Amino acid sequence: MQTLYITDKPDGGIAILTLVDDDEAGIALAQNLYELSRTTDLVSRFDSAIHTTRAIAAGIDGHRPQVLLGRCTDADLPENRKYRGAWRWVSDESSDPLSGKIVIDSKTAKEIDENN
Amino acid sequence: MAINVTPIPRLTTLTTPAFTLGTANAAGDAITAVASNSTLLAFDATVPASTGTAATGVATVAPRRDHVHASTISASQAEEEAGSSTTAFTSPGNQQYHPSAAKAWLYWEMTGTHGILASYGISGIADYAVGQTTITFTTAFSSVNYAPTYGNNWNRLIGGETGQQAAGSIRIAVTNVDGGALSDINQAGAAFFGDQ
Repeated sequence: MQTLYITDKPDGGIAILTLVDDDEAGIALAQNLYELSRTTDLVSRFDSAIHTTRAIAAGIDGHRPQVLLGRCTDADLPENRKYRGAWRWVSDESSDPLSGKIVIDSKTAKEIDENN
Repeated sequence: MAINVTPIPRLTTLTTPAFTLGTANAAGDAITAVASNSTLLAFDATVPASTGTAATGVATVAPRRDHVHASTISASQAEEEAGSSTTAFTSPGNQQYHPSAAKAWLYWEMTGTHGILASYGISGIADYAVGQTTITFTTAFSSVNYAPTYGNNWNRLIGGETGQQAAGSIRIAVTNVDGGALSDINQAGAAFFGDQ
């Protein structure tokens, strides 16, 4: 199964990353987090020697802090995307810091229902 | 009285071979002979041309069997980007640098898990929200001035989000044709042209 990576968004929701190739060194993951973190900086290039996941989480000039929250597979995603905006990541606080699951935030889900 | 006549063999004068290689058989008119162990001129020591305009040629000698043509000159990244050379040749490893070539393309789905069905030059995608995908390029463009193109077969509108076209990534939004609300799409394609 494809490994998916969970990261945060400014609105409190989550973005779910899919990488094209195997990424044992974690460079593609860091590159995708770096791109997601852009705010005012639209032109600087990702540099794997500088832009580590830790540095990206801490915040880079022109970027917001982008935190890698967890890791899952496509089987772990809710089947219905109706409440996609209410998806949240909850860590299971095991020894693996990236282990956890996606839950649906009831308050946000209610807002989605009201707006539809 | 019988007279025996013994023919005196004619003495043959052997000369240097003067055969000429040609494109058709032709009889010569020399009355001299060559020895069977003569050396026949067939090759020369001229370096063969690398490439050029096609021509039948007029040389009367041929290159040796183990001759080697100079390698053709493949265009460098700079030559591909300039797009003006008519002597350098495009190689598979550099052709994407030509201005007319797509630097990256993606065919993906948004329903269920955001899935990459086929791609080139793409590092990864992010399911950002309903109807929103962030695409990260393997190699960033040299500026934000590059040209995305989009298409889909699902009766949706698709385009880049305002202010979200960065050199290294772009966020795409898909909306319903009628209401304009963000909407996931079954499958869509995108291609990106510009300088990297």
